[in-house]
Amino acid sequence: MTAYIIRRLLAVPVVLLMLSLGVFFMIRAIPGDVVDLKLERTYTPERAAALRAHLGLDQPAYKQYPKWIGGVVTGDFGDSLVTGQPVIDEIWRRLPITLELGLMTLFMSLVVGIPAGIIAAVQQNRISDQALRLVSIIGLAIPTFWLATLVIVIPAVTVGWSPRFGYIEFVDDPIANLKQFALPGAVGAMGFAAILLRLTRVQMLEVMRQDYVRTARAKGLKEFTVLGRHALKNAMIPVVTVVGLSLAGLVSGSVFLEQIFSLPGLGRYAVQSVQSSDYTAIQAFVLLIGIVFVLVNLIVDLLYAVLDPRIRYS
Amino acid sequence: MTAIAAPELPVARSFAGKQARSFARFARTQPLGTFGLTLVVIIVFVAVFGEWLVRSDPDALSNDILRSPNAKHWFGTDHIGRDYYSRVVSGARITVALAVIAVAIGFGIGTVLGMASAWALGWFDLFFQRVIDALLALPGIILALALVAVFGRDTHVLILILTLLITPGVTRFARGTALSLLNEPYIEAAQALGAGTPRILLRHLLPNLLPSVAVVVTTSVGGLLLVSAGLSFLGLGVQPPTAEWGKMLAEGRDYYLHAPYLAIFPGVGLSLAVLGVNLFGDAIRDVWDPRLRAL
Amino acid sequence: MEGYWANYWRSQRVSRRSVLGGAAVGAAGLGTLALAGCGDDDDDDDGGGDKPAPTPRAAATGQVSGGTFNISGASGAPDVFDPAITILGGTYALGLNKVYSRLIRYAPDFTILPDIAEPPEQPDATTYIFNIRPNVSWHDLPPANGRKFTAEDAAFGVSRFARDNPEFIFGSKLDPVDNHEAVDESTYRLTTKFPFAPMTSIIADDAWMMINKEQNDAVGDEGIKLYENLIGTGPWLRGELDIGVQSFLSKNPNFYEEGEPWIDKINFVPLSDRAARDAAFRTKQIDASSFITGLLKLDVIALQDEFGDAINSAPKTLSATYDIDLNNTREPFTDPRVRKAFHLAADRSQFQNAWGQEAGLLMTAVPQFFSAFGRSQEEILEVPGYRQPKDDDIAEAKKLMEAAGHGDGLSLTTLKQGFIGNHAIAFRENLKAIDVDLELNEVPTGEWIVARQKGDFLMVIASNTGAVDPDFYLSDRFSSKGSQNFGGYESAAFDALAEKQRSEVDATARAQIIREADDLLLEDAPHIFSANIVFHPTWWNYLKDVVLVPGLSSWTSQLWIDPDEKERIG
Repeated sequence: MTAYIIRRLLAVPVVLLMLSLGVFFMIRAIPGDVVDLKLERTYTPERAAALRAHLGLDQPAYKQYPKWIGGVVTGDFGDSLVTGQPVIDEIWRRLPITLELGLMTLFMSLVVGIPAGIIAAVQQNRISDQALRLVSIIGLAIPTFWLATLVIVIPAVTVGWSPRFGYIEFVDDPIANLKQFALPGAVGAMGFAAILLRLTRVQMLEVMRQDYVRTARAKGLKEFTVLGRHALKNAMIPVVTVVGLSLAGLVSGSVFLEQIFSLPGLGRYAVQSVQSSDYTAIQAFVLLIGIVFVLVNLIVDLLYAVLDPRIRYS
Repeated sequence: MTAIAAPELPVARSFAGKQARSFARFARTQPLGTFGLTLVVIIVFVAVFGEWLVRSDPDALSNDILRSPNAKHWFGTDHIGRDYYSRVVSGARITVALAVIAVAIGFGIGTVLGMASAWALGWFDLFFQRVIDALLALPGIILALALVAVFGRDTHVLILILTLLITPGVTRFARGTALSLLNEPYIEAAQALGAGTPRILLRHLLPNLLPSVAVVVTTSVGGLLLVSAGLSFLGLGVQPPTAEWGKMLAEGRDYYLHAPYLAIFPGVGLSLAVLGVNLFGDAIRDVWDPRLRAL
Repeated sequence: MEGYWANYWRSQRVSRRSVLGGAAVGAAGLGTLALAGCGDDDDDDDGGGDKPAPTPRAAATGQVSGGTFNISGASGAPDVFDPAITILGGTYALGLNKVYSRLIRYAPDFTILPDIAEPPEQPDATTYIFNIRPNVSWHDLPPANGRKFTAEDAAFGVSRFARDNPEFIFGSKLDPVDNHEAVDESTYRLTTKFPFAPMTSIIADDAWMMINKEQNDAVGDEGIKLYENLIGTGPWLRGELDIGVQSFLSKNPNFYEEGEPWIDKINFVPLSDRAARDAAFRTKQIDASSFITGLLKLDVIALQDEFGDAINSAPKTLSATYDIDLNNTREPFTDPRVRKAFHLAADRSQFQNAWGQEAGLLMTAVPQFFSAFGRSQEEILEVPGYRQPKDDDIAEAKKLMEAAGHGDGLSLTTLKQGFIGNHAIAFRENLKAIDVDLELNEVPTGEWIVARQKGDFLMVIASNTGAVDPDFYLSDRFSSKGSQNFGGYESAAFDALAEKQRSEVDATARAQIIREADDLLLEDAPHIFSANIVFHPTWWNYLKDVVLVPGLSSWTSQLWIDPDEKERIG
């Protein structure tokens, strides 16, 4: 297992390097010219040439890359093509919002999904189980952006209620802040809770049949103890994996939810950057998100190994 | 085999008959899956024969703006007087086509690459897996956004993007399955008998690999549909005036007060498509590979 | 001789209401705010001098001080807060045109009104004298610390636009200027090299805000771009700008209009999404939609159905236009027959459906809202290309295409702007009638702007800014040296006409020349003309004295909140 961990750790810098190369060359691949875009209405060939020289973009790629990476390592991701301000500032400002949205979604999914999954497993094939599974499947099918729209539109039109717009910081008003994130969190949680429900159910069923559960039962332990201590712990392994892997789903969800609920997070920033061709910003958030996920995947993989020493990797 | 008196077996066991029996069994044991399959079939049917199902040119403008569903326009009209029924049907084609093409290509390429990686091992495998890791590091929509930023919004580019979203996962899975399959005795036997690499890969490995990979693929189609629609919803997918459900949803939102059906029909269509695919995929998984139920 | 505009309006006696195609612009909730322009008959008994009297403001008619005004914030991020650089509506809305003010400004009907200075006197055709009004001072913040605004400030502010900074985009407008001079502390004189009809309109235009010299010296042009360095003469002091989170501006207690601003604070509520904007409006989290982008007319109607006269809305016609730019230097648009065919095939009534109800005010080359110079709605509807039914025009178009060698059809791709460029969808269908297959390529904003700027395009369906003088729509856009002549149109005949109209100071004569130029452009069709952009700002009725002007400006100092009405509406 140590060998596995070491191998896994060594892979990380390689992956990060590839990611950075990919992101770097992404800009070289665009048919247009970043410099031209920055000048926009003020474009003249002379200004373009001057700006290109000023930004060091007339250098060959192999010289630019080390410079860029050097900047990245020290936290300088360049300036936004739209506002001229350092991109890292804008990302930093938006990060807590996306984090909070993700946590809220995760929390709600866990609170709903796991208990529901347990119930479904315990009530296997009875009405409640069937109903829960059906609900979860429907939950997975409905597009997040559709549900989010309905959730804003229907109350506004029918009873004149709408969520509070204009992000309120947690430090300013914790209650209002939590209320603000509750609704988008719930919408996002719908899909993820469904996944958790199904997963928990399946794992519980598998594990409930296992030998050690039967042994525990045979020992006369109460059903609750049997379930709680033994079955659940082992059922959690794939759940942990999925939670880690579904971080991706949460980030994706934030792209739509932030747009629709007017929360100035990273997801919306990503969309805006693409819509305005702000390539510096796009490079920055792709790289940052990539780095985060590489690390998260690493942690999840290691956790996985720790939780179940029986698991072997080829 | 010892000749034991066996009961009379029906002689004419045609292939079609066998399939029909399999299907009947499937329908019995997997009612939800059958329902899902029905949905999928309907939507694919609409997608394939859409051209003949539309009542008018989905792009044709008229002065009948924002009419509710009526006899002339079954699903009403949108804000520039286009027949919405025709657009929804047309939208099925695009929405489905994009996903299907991407999945097909991704399935093919992913399986081959995964297989190659598992077979070759060594540096090629290590390096390639890191590339896959890098691609998988990004959430789908983020990768899609970045690619749209770079390559623009051509339909071909969209297919490329969707393919790039699904292929790494398929490759990873194919590799894993291939690795375990390669430990099977029949592979060793084939090698001992002097079979060359292509023969082993194509005759022995691939046929056993395909079902498992296919199962994983069916579970990804739904997600791909949603990413594709999501991109169009953000205005970064198909070009106007193409009808695509995600895009129609976004446009329909502008008129939710006056013509709520504009957002409802594509939303329902999209949900049903994803629902159908998921249900069917679930059922297939249950039937073919119960081990994978955990995924 | 009084100002050019004073003369003109007197001679025309045009009703202000007729200007915007019959729409009552800003009339709702107007109270008794007098839109007196130079046409006032008050004469100072100054003997020989022709100084117009300072314009009277409305006598206080129940304006109540106080309150916070919540308005929908811009959905995108602002860019740079330098009026010489930016044309972004969001930047204007979030503070640019509220912290800064101009020497003069234009009313909804383009009458020139005083702001920092009185509308200029013109002792002769090339001299403009601006008298700085007595109570104008800079904000009480460092480095200006509330000192009086002087003629030096005016000279600096205006000439700054022509500074040799590569990012400044309005410099060329000052080409006809000969000299800026501070005659004395409160008199600023500007002289031109030749009679230049648009001069006053240019100074009155949205961008021409006065920057503080001390601040510019202290932080440089780079620093002026930043929100935290905003210091001006406007009704609002810079507040806080936290993009997407919150922004506000607070009242300038020393503003030069008495009593104004009535409201204490403007609070911008960031709303990225139409559904969110609508919901926020209904639940009164915002008192008004943005004064620039407003709501869709359809939504306004729904709101009015539901809330009756508690809701007010009025069309705001922007000087900006919906455009279809053709590259006259590339096939097939080198052939005027093809261009004319495209122009004839375009169905503007379907364009209007595509933009949304009442989202476009038809225009030929010169906008309708210049009622003296542009064609009226009735006239436009008779012009080939605009008239209905289109059968004759389509037939003509087909013949032209045939003659140009494209009888069996044509295929091309156009760049398209999202949302505003939606007339592209209608145009695509229209072109099918002449066997042209148009593929749409919707691209992010920067892309089509750059392509158009470089001349590196075949066709661009998007929008463009405008201005408050017809000269912009002629010289800037279509003269061979025009800065906005993206399509590379070259016509000596047109150049001559454009040159002539901009130096013609007599309004009637000028109108004649402009009409000729307009006719020429319709015939040559270097561009497919359609409409000015119209939005529908909407507000709750407890917000009083709303005045909507074309362009990027919005008047906010005269607004006030009626507490009784607010209580009634809830």
